[in-house]
Amino acid sequence: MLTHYKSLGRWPIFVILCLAAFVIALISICLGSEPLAPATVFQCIAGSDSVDPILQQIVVDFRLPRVLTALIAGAALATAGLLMQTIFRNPLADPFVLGVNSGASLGVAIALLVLTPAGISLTTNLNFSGQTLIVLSATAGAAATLFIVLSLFQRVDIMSLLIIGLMISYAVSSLVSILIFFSMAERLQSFLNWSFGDFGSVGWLHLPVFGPAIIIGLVATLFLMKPLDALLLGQEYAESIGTRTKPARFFGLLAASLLAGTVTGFCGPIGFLGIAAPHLARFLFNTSTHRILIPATLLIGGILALTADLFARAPGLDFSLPLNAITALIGAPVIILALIRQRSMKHLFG
Amino acid sequence: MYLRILLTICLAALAEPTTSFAGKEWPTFQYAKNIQVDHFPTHRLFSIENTYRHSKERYQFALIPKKNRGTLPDLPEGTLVIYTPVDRVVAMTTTFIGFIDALDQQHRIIGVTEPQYINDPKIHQSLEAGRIQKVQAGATLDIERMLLLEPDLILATTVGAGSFQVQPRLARAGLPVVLSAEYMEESPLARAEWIKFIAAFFEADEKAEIVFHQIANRYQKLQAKTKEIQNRPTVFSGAPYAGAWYVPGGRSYIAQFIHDAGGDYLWKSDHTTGAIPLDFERVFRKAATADFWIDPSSYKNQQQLVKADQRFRKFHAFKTNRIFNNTRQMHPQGGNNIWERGIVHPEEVLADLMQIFHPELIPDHELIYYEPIK
Repeated sequence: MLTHYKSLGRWPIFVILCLAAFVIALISICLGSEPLAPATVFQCIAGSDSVDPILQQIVVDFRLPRVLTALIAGAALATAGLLMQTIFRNPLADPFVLGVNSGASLGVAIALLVLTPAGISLTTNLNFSGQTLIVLSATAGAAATLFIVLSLFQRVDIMSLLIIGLMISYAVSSLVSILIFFSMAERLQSFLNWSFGDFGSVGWLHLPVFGPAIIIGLVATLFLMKPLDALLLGQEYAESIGTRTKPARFFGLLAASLLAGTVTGFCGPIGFLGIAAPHLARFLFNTSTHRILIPATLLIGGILALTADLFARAPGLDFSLPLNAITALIGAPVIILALIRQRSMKHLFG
Repeated sequence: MYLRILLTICLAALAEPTTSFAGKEWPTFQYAKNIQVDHFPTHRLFSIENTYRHSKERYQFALIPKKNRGTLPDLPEGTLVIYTPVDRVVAMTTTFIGFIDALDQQHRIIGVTEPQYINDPKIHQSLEAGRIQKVQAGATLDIERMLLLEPDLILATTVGAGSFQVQPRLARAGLPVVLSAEYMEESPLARAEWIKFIAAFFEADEKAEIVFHQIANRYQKLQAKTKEIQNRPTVFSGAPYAGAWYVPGGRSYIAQFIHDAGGDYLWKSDHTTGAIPLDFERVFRKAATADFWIDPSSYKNQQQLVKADQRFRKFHAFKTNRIFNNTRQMHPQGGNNIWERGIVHPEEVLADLMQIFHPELIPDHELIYYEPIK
C-alpha cells in the first residue's frame, strides 16, 4: 500500500503540497467580488499607480489578510488536532476536546446575548465594539475553560481528562443553550453568524496579535516532536525509553489549546479542519513519525482552510456561504475516502 | 309563497358582504397588500395572508361589536371571534405599541414582551408601577400568566417556525391571539396603513382614518418633490456583523424609503424583500465610492467604527462624514423609537432621509430619528 511514495522519498509530496498552497492562495486572491488577473494582483500588492485604487484596496485590505488568516488558522487547527489525536491516542480527537470551543462560545454568547442587550452603554464606555469585543470574549471564555480542565491534569489520568474535557464541554454548551433560550431572534442572528466561522474579519490590525500567538504554538509543537512519537507507543514504553510523559502531555495540551483558542477567538469555531488534516497527512505520507506529520499536517490544514474559504465566498455568485458548513462538506468525503483506502489506522496509533 | 321568496332574498342579502358597517364604510385598504376586509351588517371579517416569508396560511378574524354578542353570525371555519371594543390588550412585539399609542389607546395595554426593546417611556413607567406585566422572556412564554391576565386581545407576529412561534401555543390555550402581517409589507405607507386594522379592535376607526390620511398626504407630498429629481446620491446601508454584511434587498422597506427620499440605492436592482448576506469585500467593491452610508448597525461614532474594523475608514462616505444612523431616539436600554412611532409615521422617516440626501428640498426639517455619525 502506497509503497511507491517511499521509493520516491517524501520530498516530492512536500513540494507538491507547497505548490498547491501557493496556487490556491493565488486563486483565492484573484477571485472575489471581481475576478482579477494574477498580474493585476501583483501590481496591486506592489502599489503600482496604474491600477484602480479601489481594486488595490480590495486586494491589500481584504483579500490578502483573508488568505493569510486562512493559511495560518488552517495550519494552527490542523496542528492542534494532530497534538490532541496523539496525546489521547484517539483518532476522533479534535482541537476542541478539552472544551476550548464551547468555552469561547460561552464567552461570545455572554457578550452578544447578555451584555449587549442589558446595556449598550457597557460596550460603549469600554470602547470595545464589533470584532474586538468578540475576540476578547471568545479568548476569555476559552482560557477560563482551559484553566479548569488543565488544573485537573495532575489529579487524573489522560483518559479521564478526555472525558472531563467532554463533560465540561457539554455543561458549558448547555449554559449557552440557556442564554439562547432567553434571547430575541435578532440577537441570536449575530451569535449564529459568529458560530458559522469566518476568515474575513481578521484585518491587518489583528494580524500582529493573531500571527505571533499561532507561531508560538507552532514552535512549541516542534520541540515536542520526539516525545509525541514516544507517546504513540503507550505510556509504559514511552517512559522506558526515557520520555517524561506528564510534562510532554501537559505542554502538548497547552500548545494545542493556545492554537485552537486563538483561532476560535479570531475566526469563530471552525470545525472539521483539525480532525481531517492529520488523517490526510497520515494517508499521504503513510507514517506516524511527527517529524514528517507536523509539517505535513500544517500544510494540509492551510490548504484545506483556503479551499473551504474559496468555496464559502462563492466567487461569481451573489451571496456567500457559512464557512463551517463548507469545511465539513469538502472535508468529510476526502477523509472518508482516505480511511477506506487506508483500511486500518491501527498501526498509526501504536 | 311570495313571502318565502322574499325571505330567501333577504337572507341572501344578509350573507353577502356589503360595504357598510353600522353606516360607515371603513376600513378599506389602499396600500396594504396582506390584508383584506369584508363588511357584514353584524360584523367585519379580516383575512390576513403572508404572515411570514413563503407562508401559505390565511388567518381570519371576525370583529363583532360587544352589543351584538348574543348572536353569532355564520363564519368561515377557523375564524377567531373578537368582541369589540377590546379592553385588555397584550402586545407581543414593539411595533404594535406605536400603533396603539397613535390611537390614544395605550391605557388598554396590560402585557408586553421584552421590555428592553421598548422605547416608549410611558410603557416603562407602567411596567415599573405594575400596571403592565411582562409576559415573555426570549423563547419562554408564560402561558399561565397570560391566562391570568385575561386579555381580550393578544397582538402577535410570527416568523413561521421554531420556538418563537407563539401563536399556535396561545391559540391552543384558548387565548384570543391575532396575527399581523404588517412587517411583511414592502412599502412604508402599506405598513403604516395597518393602523386601520389595529383601530378596528378598539372601534377607533375614525381616528385611524384621520391619522392615516394625514400621514399618506404628507408622505406623498414629500415624495412628489423627489420624483423628477436627476442627481440622486448613491446610498448603501447596514454594517457587517461577525463576518456577514446583511444588505437590505432591492424590494425592502428601506430600499423604498431611499428611493422615495431621492436617493439611489446601490442594490436597487435586487429582487429580494429581506436582506442578502454578503461578505465585506463585495459590499466594499460596490459601495467604496458611494455618497451616503445609512444605518450602520448600532455604531454611534466614527471612533467605534474604526475600532471595530479599520477598513470602514476607506469608504468615501466615511472620509466625507456622510454616515447617518437611525439611533437618535434610542432608549438607554436599547429600544428604538423608529420601530415604534417610525412605523406609524413613515412620513417623518422620509423627511429625515430627504433632509440627509437633499437638504435644499426640505430646509426647515430637523432630524427626528437620524443623527450624523461623527
